[in-house]
Amino acid sequence: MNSAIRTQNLVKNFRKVEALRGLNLDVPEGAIYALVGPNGAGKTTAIKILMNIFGATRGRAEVLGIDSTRLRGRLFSEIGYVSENQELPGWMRVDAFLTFLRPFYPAWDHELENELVRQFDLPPDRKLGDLSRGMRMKAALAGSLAYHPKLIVLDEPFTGLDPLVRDELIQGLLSRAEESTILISSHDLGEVETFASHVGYLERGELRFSEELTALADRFREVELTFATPPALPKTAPESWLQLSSSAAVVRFVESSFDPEKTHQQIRNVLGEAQNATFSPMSLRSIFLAMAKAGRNSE
Amino acid sequence: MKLTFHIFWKDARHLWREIAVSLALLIVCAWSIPREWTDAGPGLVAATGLAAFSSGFLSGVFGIRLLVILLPVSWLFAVVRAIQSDSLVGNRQFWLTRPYDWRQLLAAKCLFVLTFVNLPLLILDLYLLAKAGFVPTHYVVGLLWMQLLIILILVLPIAALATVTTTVVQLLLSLLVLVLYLVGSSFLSERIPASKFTSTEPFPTILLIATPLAMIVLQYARRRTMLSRWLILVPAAGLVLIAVFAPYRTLISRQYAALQPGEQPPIQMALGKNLGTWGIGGHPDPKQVGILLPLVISRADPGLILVMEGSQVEVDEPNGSPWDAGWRSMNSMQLLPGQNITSVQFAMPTGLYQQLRDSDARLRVTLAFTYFRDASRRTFVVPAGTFPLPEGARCSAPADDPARMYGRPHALMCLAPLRRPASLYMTMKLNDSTCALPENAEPLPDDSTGSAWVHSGESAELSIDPVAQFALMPLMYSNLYHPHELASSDHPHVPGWHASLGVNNSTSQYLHGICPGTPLTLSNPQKVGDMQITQPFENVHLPDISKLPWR
Repeated sequence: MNSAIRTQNLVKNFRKVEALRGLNLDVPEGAIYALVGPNGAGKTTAIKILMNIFGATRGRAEVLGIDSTRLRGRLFSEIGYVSENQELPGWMRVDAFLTFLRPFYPAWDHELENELVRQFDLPPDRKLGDLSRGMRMKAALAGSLAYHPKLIVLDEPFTGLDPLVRDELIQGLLSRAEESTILISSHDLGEVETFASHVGYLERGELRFSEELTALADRFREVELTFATPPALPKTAPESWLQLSSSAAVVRFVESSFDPEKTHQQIRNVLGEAQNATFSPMSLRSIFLAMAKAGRNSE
Repeated sequence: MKLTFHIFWKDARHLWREIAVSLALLIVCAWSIPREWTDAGPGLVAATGLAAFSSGFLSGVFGIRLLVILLPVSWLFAVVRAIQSDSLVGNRQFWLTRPYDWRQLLAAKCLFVLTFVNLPLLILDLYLLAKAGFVPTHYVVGLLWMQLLIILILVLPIAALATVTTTVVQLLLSLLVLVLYLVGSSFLSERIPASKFTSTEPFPTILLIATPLAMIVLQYARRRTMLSRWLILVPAAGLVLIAVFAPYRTLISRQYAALQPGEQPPIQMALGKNLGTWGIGGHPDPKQVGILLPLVISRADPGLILVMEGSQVEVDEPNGSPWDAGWRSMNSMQLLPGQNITSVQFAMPTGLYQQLRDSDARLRVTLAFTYFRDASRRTFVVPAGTFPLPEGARCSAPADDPARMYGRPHALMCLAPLRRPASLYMTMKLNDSTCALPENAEPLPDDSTGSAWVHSGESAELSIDPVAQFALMPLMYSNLYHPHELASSDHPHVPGWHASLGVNNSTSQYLHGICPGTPLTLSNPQKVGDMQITQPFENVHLPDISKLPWR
């Protein structure tokens, strides 16, 4: 499968702060790729480098096969970018904003524009500056979907939005998903989980994992083991075990490389034979929290 | 191109209030400026240095021309808002990830300037020229040059600042810094008097035009805001470096050529009457003594007009080594035919002054000047009404209005297209004035002559008014006293110069003006050249030369 986005050893320093440390990101064409990670992980920085808003300190990035540093002008007619902190022309009415954008895009679909305005329930005669944050996001998204972009990049689009608006945004996005690749950075893991096909976890400027959501869900398990007598926890547990803890005869951890046979074998080797073992599938949010906590504990 | 217009229209719609205000001010200017031509009297516009202000902004501070100042301000405000509406500073602007081509964006902003600054100004200028009685189409090249000046001098620097700022307030703060810099530069310029009359061109002009251009292109093409901001320091530092390190002596000797062997000097100097020790003062620096050296100028050709630019005084120290006071500006002081007294001011270390005060010193005085020779002399009788002069100006002598007699003499009031005449010299026998004199008017001596000289550069001046006003007012120049010196001293015989409006201070001196029927002599003095002349003076007793309050 071709890549819509690919980065190689992308490094970005802001003076002495390393925002990205050799990021290698690969977003396949047609994917809905969720880039998740704690605050300050480098998600926005990575996206701004992809959009050629920032220059990288080292490494390279390609977007739709084009070096991101060459991304400007007409090349943006195939990319839709919406960011939570994007400055829109507040003095423009919604309809004027969409009318203004129209000539820039040869593929602008007027019918789709009208459909999006209806779908997002946008008030055409209101100024963008007078709209609520959620409405502004919807207006920006409408202005980024109406030309059938090949790539849609959304930077924290759900932050601070109420569930109804979130749902409307997601529905609007999904209706375009078949024709586009979507890269979305978000904290809202519950929402992302419902529609993302791929997920990448960025922490302290490094991509800890990047894979299909189904594979991730298969890989992570919440493990709870019950022993006859309280076992002694090993000083060094397998690397794939996160948040290892015990309470009396019960041992819990998160297995990040779950394989039924291999995991059972590891448990026997490290802790002995368990009387009872449960391996519960995890939500993306639980996985994210486990990863984040593990990351903090290792600092 | 289509997208350029699209962005342009977006700005035009967004900034309709700013555009409306500037157009309203333009209409007010179109209404008020012609009134100022008729209202401005010779008391406001003299035929000497003050004429330089006649078409500029300063005269507008008094009265309705304040509106004329507001017009460029309204343009600049609209331009700043247009540039900042698609801000180049920051990384959150929506348009950064839209198919904006920087060339189209820049072209849209240029189109905004052309449409809402240049085009209205051009229409205003065409209207004003026609209103003043000139054929506008004859002056298209000059008008375009004025437009270019407006862009380069007014719009370009402000536009460059707008590209590196996000709000008008931020821009005003940067302008404040700029004003502080200009104050500092003028202070520096005062410390380097030679910089006032020597040209270091083309470097300052190149710096002042190339830097904002570079900032604008860099911002639009690359949005390198920090680099662009640093670029502002290039002309700022460059101009200071040029001012401080320019080889002024070389520049002066190149610009004002010394007399060649065998060449007859156009003027000669002699020391004027000793000034005595009146006027105790001195230099702000207690280690310096301010000295005024009176000079009497004699001309090889009595018709020469001299524009005194700079002076340098060298004094031989008691041990024989020369001490050099350095070049000082003489502020383009004009010596018209008949005027022959000038003075050279310099500061000397108090220590050296004390050494020399009891002995006779040897001085060398060098004057750098531009001189003009009278040409195309003809007589002319002022007709009634408005009449054209060959120089392209349209003039009129006011009807004899007794109510206007007192306080200012009748002058020839003229309007010229784009700029004042390159060189127009007028003389008249004051007793030939046809202006009505009151019965109790005192008679003037037979040979009383009034004169006026108007001259300007070769190109149109920076102004929104393409009609230059000037007055030919017959002033009688006498070799009397400098008013400043008279005011600060009770010594009655200090030679200096004084442009007197007559032979005494009685009201009759104001009555011998130009009215219909007055015969004048007009000529067009031509520039002969720039020159410096050095003359030694032996046995000068410095204490006989007055110490002056430092000016």
